[in-house]
Amino acid sequence: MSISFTVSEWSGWTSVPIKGLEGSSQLTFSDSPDVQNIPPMLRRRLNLLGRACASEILQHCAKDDDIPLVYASRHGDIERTLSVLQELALEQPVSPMNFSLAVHNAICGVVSIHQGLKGNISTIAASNGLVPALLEACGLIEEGNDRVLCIICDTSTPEIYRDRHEAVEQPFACCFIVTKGNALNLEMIPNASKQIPDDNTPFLNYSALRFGAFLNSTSTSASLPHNNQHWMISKN
Amino acid sequence: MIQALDLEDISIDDISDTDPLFHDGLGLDSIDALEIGVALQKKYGIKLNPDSDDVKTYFSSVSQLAKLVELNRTIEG
Repeated sequence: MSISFTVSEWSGWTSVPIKGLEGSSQLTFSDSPDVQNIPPMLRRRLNLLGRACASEILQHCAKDDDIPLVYASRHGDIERTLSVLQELALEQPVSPMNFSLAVHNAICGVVSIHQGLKGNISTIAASNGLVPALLEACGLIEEGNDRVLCIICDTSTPEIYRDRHEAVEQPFACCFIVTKGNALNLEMIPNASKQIPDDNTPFLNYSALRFGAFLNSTSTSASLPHNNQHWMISKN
Repeated sequence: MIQALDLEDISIDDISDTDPLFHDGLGLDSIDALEIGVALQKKYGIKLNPDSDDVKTYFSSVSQLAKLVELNRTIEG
């Protein structure tokens, strides 16, 4: 069984060029995200990851838009949670701002207040958020929404939490507008080795960004390893 | 205050000593009020009583906050 949908627009940001994604025009590389579209009073509530997300979200939705949001990130803005815990450990007063923003849906929350977004917001904490975010978006389309905004972001865990063997991921954020349609098919492949075509490109890291680049490429299918399963995305 | 509230694009000259800090003035909100409270405690050792009517007056402008600090500080800085 496969699920069909269309991605009408996307954009993304990373702090460093990522191998294999250099030629993608919708993906920007810069030390810090472009914050020109984020007003200062909103910006003060956002750190690097939050600014990256806000910058992407605001490119794709109008003021008072009723578009639903799906936010997917493994750890979200974990630096804030850590700073709250560190203040508590030192028996210092906790910063009310850090406390209020140390929840997984905080970035979408403050952006939606600023932009007057009226759609519902779903948040997902998954190690690889692309497939769960697309599935959630397809569910919302099925419920009658015309468009769903997926915002996927991550960064490395702070050093204090990091396993010695854990790969360091560069901060990134990307945004997809999922609409009703059948330009793309998403399908779970129970036995990966037999059914995935030879020209298929597997997304081993930064899968959300690689998915964006795939949309612009001439490739017809790509696979996503996810929790011991493979998902295949193909173009119609 | 600029530092405590991460008001990175605002300079000291942009904040009037007498204009309101909240709503129509500088545009601060309730989270900022709490953050100012914590900053006063950390920097000047001032513990505020949130139920006291004075708090509203002291938080109305920069000059009122300065008065609060002068009268109540327990840490010299």
